[in-house]
Formats: sequence, structure tokens, C-alpha cells
Amino acid sequence: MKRIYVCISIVLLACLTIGCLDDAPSTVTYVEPITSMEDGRDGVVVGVGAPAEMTTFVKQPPDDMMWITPAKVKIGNLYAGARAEWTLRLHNGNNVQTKYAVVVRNPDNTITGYSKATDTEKSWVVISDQAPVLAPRETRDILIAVDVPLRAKVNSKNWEFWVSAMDAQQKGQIVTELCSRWNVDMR
Amino acid sequence: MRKFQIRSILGILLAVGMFVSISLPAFAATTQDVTVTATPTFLAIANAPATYNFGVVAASSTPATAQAHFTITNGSSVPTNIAIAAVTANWTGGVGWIHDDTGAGAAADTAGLKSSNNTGAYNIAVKNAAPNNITSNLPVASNCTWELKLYAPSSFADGALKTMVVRLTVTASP
Repeated sequence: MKRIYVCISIVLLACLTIGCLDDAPSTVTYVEPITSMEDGRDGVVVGVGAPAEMTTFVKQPPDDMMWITPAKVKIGNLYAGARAEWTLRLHNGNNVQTKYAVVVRNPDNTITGYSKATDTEKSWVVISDQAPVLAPRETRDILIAVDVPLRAKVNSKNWEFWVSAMDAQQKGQIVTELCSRWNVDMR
Repeated sequence: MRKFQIRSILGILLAVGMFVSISLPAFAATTQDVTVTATPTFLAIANAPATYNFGVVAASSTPATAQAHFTITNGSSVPTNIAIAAVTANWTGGVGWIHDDTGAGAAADTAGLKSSNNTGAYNIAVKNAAPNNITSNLPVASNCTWELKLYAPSSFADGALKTMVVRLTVTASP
């Protein structure tokens, strides 16, 4: 009889526990997102890095200059086995077809509380097209993904990397580079 | 007997309840989603002129551009930092000069570069590693002018033309 009571108690508590897990609050918080959506897989959020219409910009980007958007991206709650994606929008302000170099690189400096990405962490960053060739005044989205391997060893909880975009055909001894800051918070 | 059964059940309930309350946050974390957020801001700068030739330089000389010789046109929508860097650790051409990150140069085949943002002070070393900002928190719609000074080597192994590429990197201010 005693055993039956014990078994019933355990089963009831197990059911209660599962019920609680199902109802656990999800903490998806989008701070001023451009657009974003979940793709249905657990822990995967796919964002679209720039709006189709530029009306959300307080200031319109110049058509005759190279520009990138967004300037800052924040990835939160990332963990081993998860993937986060966002797109970097690149504009060619030249009147000629131009080849660009889009690469991940170490930051020269970081936001307070973040460490510079290690080589291992940088290896998790995937850029869909590292040498895009843009037509005159063309604007193109380039997918940037942070794909953390399932068995990855997390060295730092908060780390930063930069995505650099440069006109690969710049002439002269003084060149310009545009860098988007990516701040990653690991779970 | 009945009292014993009730006590047993209560004991078990208490133990399992404590276990669940302790472990629940950890389990709950597995259902949280990765978040990706960004604000609709853009970065855009252009620099002109894109070249400068110091001409024939004497040993240990310090030729410089005029103040505000260069202009960075800023089309960004957020306040920015602009860093100035020597792209490589050595100058190219003939016996390449070593680039001195202190900016001082003035050693055999070792040169330095210093810049400033329209102050004429030439006090910002142009470094290959850990670049300095030539301007910080540059406001939206504000351009930036700057100048450059060469600190020539104390002696040269050859008279070949030397070249260094200087990179201006814009990021959103932290």
C-alpha cells in the first residue's frame, strides 16, 4: 500500500514538472528590431538586417557613397548548437561596378563588458559572400551567421567581433573601411 | 500505520518539490530562444584626397601635409569613431622600412607616421597594431579634417620609393 502511494506521488510530481517546463516563459525580446522572425527550430532566430523601405531611417543613407547597415547587432542567449543570422546591407555608391571585401575581423576596441573574439569564436561566423561584386548604385544583402558547433567550448560569455566591408578596388594610399559591431552574449 | 503513510508521502512530496524548484530554472533555460537585435543605423564615410606624396625626404626629417589637408565626409546616421591605422607592419619598396608604431621613426630604415584632426599637433600615432582613433564620437552630419606627418628614418639602405597604406576605419561609437 505504501509503495502504491509513493508511486502515485512520483507520477503526479513528474506530470507537474513536465507541465511547468512546457509553460516556462520564453524570453525573446526584440529591442528596436528592424524585422525578425523565428524559423521554427528551437533556438534559431533569423533576422533580416535592413528594412525593404528606408523610411525607418531618420536620416536617409546617401546614394553616392558606400554604406552599410546595421552599424550594431546584438545576439543574445546564444549557446553551443545554436545559430543566429542577420543580414548586412551593403550599398555601392560608385558609378561603376565595384568589388567589395566583406570579412570578419578582430575589433580594434570593444564595448565595455565584451572581450575580443578569439580565433575559435571568429571561426563560427559565416559570411555568405565575402567578395560581392555590386553594380553601380546597387544595394545588396549579405547573410551573416554565427553558427556555434554543438560541442563548442565557450571561452567567453560576452564577446565582440566586427564585420568589415571595404571597397576592394580603392586606389591610393589612404583607404576607408566600414565595420559593423557584433556583440554576442552566450547563455 | 496510516500516520506513517501520510508522513512518508509528505516527505517524498517535499523532497521532490525541492528538487523541482531548484532544477526548474535550468530546465526552463533550454526553451529560451536566441535573440538577434539591431537598430536601423548605417555607416558611410569617404576620404579625399586618397593619396599624398611626401616627395624626396632627408634622413631624420619630418615632412608634413598642411593642416586639414584631408577631409572625411561623414554620411553616417549615428555618432562614430574613426580609427587610423598603418595597414602593414612594413613599408613596401626596395629595402622596406620598418613601421614604428610609436610614430617616432628616426632609426635606420625605420619610419613613423603621426596624425591629428585639424589641430596641427600631429600627436596621434598611426599604428599597425591597436590603432588609435583620429576622432571619437563624431556627430552625425559632421565631417572631419585631418593631417599627417612623416618621421623619416635616420638612414636609408636605398633610395627606392617607399609606400605605406593608411586605413580609416569607421564604427558606431560604443
